[in-house]
Amino acid sequence: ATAQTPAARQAIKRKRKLVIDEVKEIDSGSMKTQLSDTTDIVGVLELAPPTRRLMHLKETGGIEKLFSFSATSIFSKTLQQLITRNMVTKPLEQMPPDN
Amino acid sequence: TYADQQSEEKGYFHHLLAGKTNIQVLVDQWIDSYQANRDEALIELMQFFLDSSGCKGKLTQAMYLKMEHVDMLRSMTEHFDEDTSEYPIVMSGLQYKKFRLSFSEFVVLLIKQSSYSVIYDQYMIDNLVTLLTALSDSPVRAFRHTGTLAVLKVMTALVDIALTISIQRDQCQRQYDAERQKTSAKRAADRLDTLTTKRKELEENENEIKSFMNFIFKGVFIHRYRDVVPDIRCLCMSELGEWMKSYPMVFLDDIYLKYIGWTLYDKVGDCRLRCLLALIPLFQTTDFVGKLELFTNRFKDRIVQMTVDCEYEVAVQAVKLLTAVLKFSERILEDKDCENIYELVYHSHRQISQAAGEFLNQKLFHKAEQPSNSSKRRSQNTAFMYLLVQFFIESELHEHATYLVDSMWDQHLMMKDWECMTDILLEAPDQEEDQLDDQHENALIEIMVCCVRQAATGEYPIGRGQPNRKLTMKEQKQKEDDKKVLTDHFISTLPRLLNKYVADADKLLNLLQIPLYFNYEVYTTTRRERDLDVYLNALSDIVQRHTTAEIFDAVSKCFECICDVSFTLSNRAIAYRGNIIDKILANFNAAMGIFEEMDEADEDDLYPLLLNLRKIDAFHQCYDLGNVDLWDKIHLLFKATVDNEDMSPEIADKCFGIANRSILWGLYQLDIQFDKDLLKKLVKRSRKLCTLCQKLMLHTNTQICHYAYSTLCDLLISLSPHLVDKNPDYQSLTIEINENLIQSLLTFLNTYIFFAEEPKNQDEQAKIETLHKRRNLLAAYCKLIVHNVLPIQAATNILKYYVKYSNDFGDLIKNTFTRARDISKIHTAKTMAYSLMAVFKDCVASRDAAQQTAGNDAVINIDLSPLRELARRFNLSFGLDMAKQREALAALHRESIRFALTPLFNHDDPTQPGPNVLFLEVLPEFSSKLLKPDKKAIFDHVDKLIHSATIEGDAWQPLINYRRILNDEPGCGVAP
Repeated sequence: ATAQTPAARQAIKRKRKLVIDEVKEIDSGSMKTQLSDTTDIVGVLELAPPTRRLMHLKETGGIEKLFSFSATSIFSKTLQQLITRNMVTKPLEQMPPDN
Repeated sequence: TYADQQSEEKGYFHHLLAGKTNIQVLVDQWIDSYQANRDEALIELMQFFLDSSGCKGKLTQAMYLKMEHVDMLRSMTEHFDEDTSEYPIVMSGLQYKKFRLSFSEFVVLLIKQSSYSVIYDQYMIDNLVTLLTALSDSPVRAFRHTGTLAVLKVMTALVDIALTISIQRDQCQRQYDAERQKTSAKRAADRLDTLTTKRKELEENENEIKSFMNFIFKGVFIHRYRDVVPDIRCLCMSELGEWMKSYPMVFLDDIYLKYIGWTLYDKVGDCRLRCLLALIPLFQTTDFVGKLELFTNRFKDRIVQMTVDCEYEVAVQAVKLLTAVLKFSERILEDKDCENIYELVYHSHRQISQAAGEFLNQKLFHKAEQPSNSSKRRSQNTAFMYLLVQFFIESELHEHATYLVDSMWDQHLMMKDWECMTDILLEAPDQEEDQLDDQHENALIEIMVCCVRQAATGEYPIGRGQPNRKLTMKEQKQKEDDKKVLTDHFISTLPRLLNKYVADADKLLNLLQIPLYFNYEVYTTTRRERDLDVYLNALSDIVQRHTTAEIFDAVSKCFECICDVSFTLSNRAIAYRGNIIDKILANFNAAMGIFEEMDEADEDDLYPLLLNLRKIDAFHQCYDLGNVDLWDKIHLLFKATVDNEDMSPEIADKCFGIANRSILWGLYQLDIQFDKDLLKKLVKRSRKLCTLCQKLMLHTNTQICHYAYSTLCDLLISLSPHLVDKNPDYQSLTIEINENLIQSLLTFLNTYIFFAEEPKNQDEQAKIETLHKRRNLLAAYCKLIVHNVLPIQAATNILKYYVKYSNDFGDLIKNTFTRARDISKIHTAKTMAYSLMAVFKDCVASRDAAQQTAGNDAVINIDLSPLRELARRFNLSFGLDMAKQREALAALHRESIRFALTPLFNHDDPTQPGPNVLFLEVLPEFSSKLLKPDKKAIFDHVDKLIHSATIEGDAWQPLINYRRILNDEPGCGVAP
């Protein structure tokens, strides 16, 4: 084992990781304030979209939907598919040279 | 040393941590060793608690015998020898999570096992509890936390022991009383004495245990429940709840309950949660009505407030607690309290809404009275359904029932009682007052349709629960069964409903959703051809009578389902649809005839045309009009739109729709059977439409511009270069992209998205609507980039706004360049460079403008902060894997250098740099990710460009600085 000088030991001691709580308990003042003021722990009522329209916008407004459907409203699955089938991303080297 | 290791491995701590030895065995082993040598055993046990705290100090016999606990802990603190600030019971990882449980179990078992003998020896528990009390009072967190956990578990064990003794004592007392009742002749000789002795002994034991309980509560609990460490407070609440649950006679008392009450106000969510979890089981055990009343009245308002706690899990448990309170007593919660909770059925968070649904169910749907002396048999859910409708109307928070239905879905069987719902709508009511008014009918239909949707899809509404949630096998099966049941019911009732409400567009729009969820085979399996005819007639009737596009779209979707060729009876439906379309076309042709004759047309004149266009558009969405060619007529209307500033935007919209879809239907035909003439026709028409769109994107009417733009974007996708993968013959269909086309799209984006005027006085919903529309328009362009239609460079003027519009479009723009990288990393990086140049030019322009305002004497500095911020964000997007991006980053540097050093010198003063040299200030942002050899290469590249020119003076600073960074000279980091 390596001998440690007192100074080295001191240095190690100063770098201690042990958590020591000088104050162990929440003081009475804070306890009292806590009982009288709850503003920071109370949230607000977060409503789901209140109208069908807003619900629809939430359904269709996400990045995934925006990038996978047509820009105009096309509700036939058959036709939508004719558009979405081209929604693929190819590396440039796989594209024809004039592109 | 080896010996130390051996003893360590024998220690209880290591046994528990390894988790391989049965805990009961360890406990027995300790008790044996205690009986053999109690001090040695106690030293070992204390060492166990020190080890479990993470302390590496060793307790010697001398310390044990001579030192007070407090001094001993001080010495142990000095020899703690910790590696981290963590300690076993808070360490992460499965092994330590398990350890925490085994630690608690070990303590509880040890005390219970001791209760058969050694606990009363006035030595073992005294020593143990004083040590643990000292630990739990230590400023050293590891000791205090571990000690508190241990001593609370000791308490939990003691509470159980006290309960057992009290039962034994009562039993003993009863035996004693019974014995005394007997006549002296029948009494066993010394039975009474034995019982008296036993009772005395039990009482003594009970007192002994209770005094320790008292000691722990006063010595530990009342300090630690307010410890600065939240987890210690949590432990206190959970254990107190356990004591109340197992020994309510003693602990279910306001002197204890108040600690839970106060902690309901804790700043840490987890502590509040533990309180609620401790309280719920108490209310579920109904024996203690009186004991909870005072507490409930005192803290009820706070608990109600917690239903909107800032942490969801707390809110969920608060609602569950109140449901338990409600079950426990109807009186406690007032109407205003209940109303607060009712609102939560419309909450966006699913667990909260489900808990609120359970509450609502408990409150409203448990004791509704059935209509008495009912003349005909009605579903027992009828009264409940009336209440639900009433609730929906009165709550006024949502205009639609989707979320309410989801909240109640698992709560009540009425949600799938189709017969109950349609009976209320269709059958004559039993009593006069049961007649629904229009508002109630609307509400019931709304609820019913939402129920149908949820039953048939099994999906939660948007925002509730995980998106793209996969149904379990069981849910899948349930869904299919539900679909059959509801189809069977609505096959006959839906046509009756449609006929009853044929004049009411709002009701129809809702009712027409129902067939979208049918299982059409039920028509065949239950032989319902007649019902099918009634249904098809109803649909025809609706098309005849109504005027709005929404209704026609809805009917068209119904036909799409029922004309599906895989459906056995589709022929019937197809024939009906044919008739409807024939009529529409005849009317449309007549209206067109009149239109062509007119010189000037006002709105009224155009109405028949518009009405029939709505119908055609709706049916054309799902049905190829095939040999009926509307192209020339639509083209005529387009021409009128080009020439006429006041053209009805809706007519234009329908024309775009029909034109766009006629090309799609053509493609569809081509896919089925390739035909050269059709191909030629499609090429011609698509070019025509493309030109028209470009023209109409400049129309004076904003809406028409929007339609033109969206149509063009869709057209470019449907005729994208990828078409060739489907069939090489489609090559000629692919629309050629030219600079002109890109410019017109960009002009549109600038006009309507980036520099659009904000409409004034918009309400919240209108604002969302506007933003959504803009996002849709921008996404349409971005899709062209990421799907190989437009070159990546066409994204320059989109990427430019990444920071400026990060709130509204940040996700779209990021997705664009992220996906563009899959096409080409190098081109994407170059495009980033171009967009930085564009921002640089903007910075220069605004400096110049400011200079002009301020006059030539003032010194106006250029503000490059927007440029730096954009560069910083771009740089972050390159990620950490430098090797993957090195070519891209090199390209970005090269493009930037080329721009910054062209021209190299000031036109008027060749000792000064050219105007763009400032742009180099942005490049250090991108230097941290360059590999060393690449830095060198770029450095050389710069040198070559500078050649042998002298670069000195302030103006050259950006270049000097950049070269230093490339050269890895110290002290030249990224500018702050």
